Amino acid sequence: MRDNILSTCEKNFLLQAINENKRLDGRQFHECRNETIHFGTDWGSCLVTLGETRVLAQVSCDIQPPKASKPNDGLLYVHVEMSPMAALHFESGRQSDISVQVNRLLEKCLKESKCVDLEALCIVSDEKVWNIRIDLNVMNFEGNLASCCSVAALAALAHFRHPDVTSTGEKIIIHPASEKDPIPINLHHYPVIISYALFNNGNHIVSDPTALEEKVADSLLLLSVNSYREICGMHFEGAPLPSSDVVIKCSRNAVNTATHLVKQIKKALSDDLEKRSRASFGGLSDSLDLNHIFSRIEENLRIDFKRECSWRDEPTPDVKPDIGGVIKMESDEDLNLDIDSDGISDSDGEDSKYSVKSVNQKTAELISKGPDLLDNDDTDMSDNGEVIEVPPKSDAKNLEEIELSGDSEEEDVVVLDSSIK
Amino acid sequence: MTNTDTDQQVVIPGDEITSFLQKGRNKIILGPGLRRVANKVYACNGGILRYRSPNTYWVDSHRKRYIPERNEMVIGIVVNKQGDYFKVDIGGSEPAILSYLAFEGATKKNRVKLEIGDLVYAKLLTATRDMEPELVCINAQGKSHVMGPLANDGYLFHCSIDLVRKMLNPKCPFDKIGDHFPYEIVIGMNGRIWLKTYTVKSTIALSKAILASEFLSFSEIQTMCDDLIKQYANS
Repeated sequence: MRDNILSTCEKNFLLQAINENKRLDGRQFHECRNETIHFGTDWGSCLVTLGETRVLAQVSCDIQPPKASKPNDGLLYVHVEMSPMAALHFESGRQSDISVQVNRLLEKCLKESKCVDLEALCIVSDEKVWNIRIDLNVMNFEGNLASCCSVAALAALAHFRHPDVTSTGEKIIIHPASEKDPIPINLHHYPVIISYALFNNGNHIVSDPTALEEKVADSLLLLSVNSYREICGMHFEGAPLPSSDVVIKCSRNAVNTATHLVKQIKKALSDDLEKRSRASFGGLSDSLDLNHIFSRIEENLRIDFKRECSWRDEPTPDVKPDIGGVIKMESDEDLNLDIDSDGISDSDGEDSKYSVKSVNQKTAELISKGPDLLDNDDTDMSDNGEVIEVPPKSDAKNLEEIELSGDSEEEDVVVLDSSIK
Repeated sequence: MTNTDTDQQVVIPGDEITSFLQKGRNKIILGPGLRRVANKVYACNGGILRYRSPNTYWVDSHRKRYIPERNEMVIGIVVNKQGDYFKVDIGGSEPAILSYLAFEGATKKNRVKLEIGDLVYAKLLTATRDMEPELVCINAQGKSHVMGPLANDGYLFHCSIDLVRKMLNPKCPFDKIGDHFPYEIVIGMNGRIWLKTYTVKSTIALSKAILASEFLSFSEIQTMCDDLIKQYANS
């Protein structure tokens, strides 16, 4: 089935809202939807949600002969599966344009930025290497698929462990987990894709676009950035880039978002390790709220409404003092929807920052975090290694080439640093 | 199965619900989500079992996909113009057809101006399994009766089918907002809602309120509406 056609009405309204500096879901322009990361019982299985977009990743491995050109390197294979479950217009079993694109973006992000230590995956040179396969299943599509997939792929890779192998001359022995502890994959750095939608000739830049925003936008800019604030890849599609300033602006914001995302991934990983030692560990089933059926969807809608009201007080850096009426409404709700009570009381506490587990706490965190993204742009960089600025000239040049070619296979700027701390 | 009020009975596919049906009646009407096998009645959708006096039962389920049904009012997006027909996407498995002549006062000479991407509010004239559904924008008397093209300056958003049913329920308190907060709304049975107010922000607020009401009871919606009205008055 074809992609849903966009009605003129939706398009006009979105553009009108953007011109008035508003987004349809009540977010600020630079604000991302909240993401959650959950791990399954298996190594390398991970469920990531970004707003309503959900991706399930599973990493698996097998032993294969290496490529003749790189006899000492392991193999890395990424596959994105989009079923009609995610969105009506996806077809199963056939590669659509969007799945090819996301696949390619992920390969650029993970493979070509050399984030995985492929040499460590070699067992016998020229004969046997580990082949790592990342399968991504899109479970719901609500925009910014590349970003969600990249977080899922990265978290799953970091979580995955492959069996230990001993090589005794002629033959190799693969040890089951009961004999020898499986080995995690060595990651040099943690790149994630951050995407921006550009409106009105680059005057309005929106981060983490929804499906509708992606459709209406003039152009999309996807940056893969790692936690060391290095840009590992860039993808630009749509109308020509108005000026190179846009790229600088976006990449400044992207490095902050990426650092935050990677922090979340690491936090989720360490939490998972700790949870695994407990007997009650339930894998992905822990991510479900069993208290009522629609808990997850309702969460989002409720928060959206709250924020929609909070913008009535116009620019809302700190929403807290102004939302008395809304809080009252929520407390009414608490009487009926039992799970909400925790989240709301916790949301005022500073310590709930960067929490991954509870959706309630995290939504609160996103509200308070909003201004940080823009304001603390340069100030808090120092603690995290050096700042690597995008060389503006080379970017602009590359991007110009892209616009002219009009080709979707265009290329990126790779700022790689192999000597990683 | 927890046995509560008949009106709040949650059923899942395969549940036998014969025991909930009223005894002593020789005729019972089974609505959507229920199926009779031999002498027993089973639920074939997950949801809440509803009953309406005297003898009608059905299951209210959460659904996002629209299945066209005759006589339902839907909002469609014009996707193509071919010959004497518009092709209109109504969210079903295939686009519906809408004749140029199925508008009030339309003749071969005097055609309705509709572009690709425009919205129409129309009624399903036919909806069968084997043919593409057909829409009309006139009633039996040849009058438009609220149907027809929708203005392009509103906002169209999507929701689940059960929210639409809830919104169309006469008890739904959203009507009351209209006294304080002028708005124009068109609700299509296919899970599309067209909304227009004076400002962008009130449109966004109202659309979010509508979406948020999906899992609220009517009294909770009332609280939310009161809150919205209060905030609108303050802004």
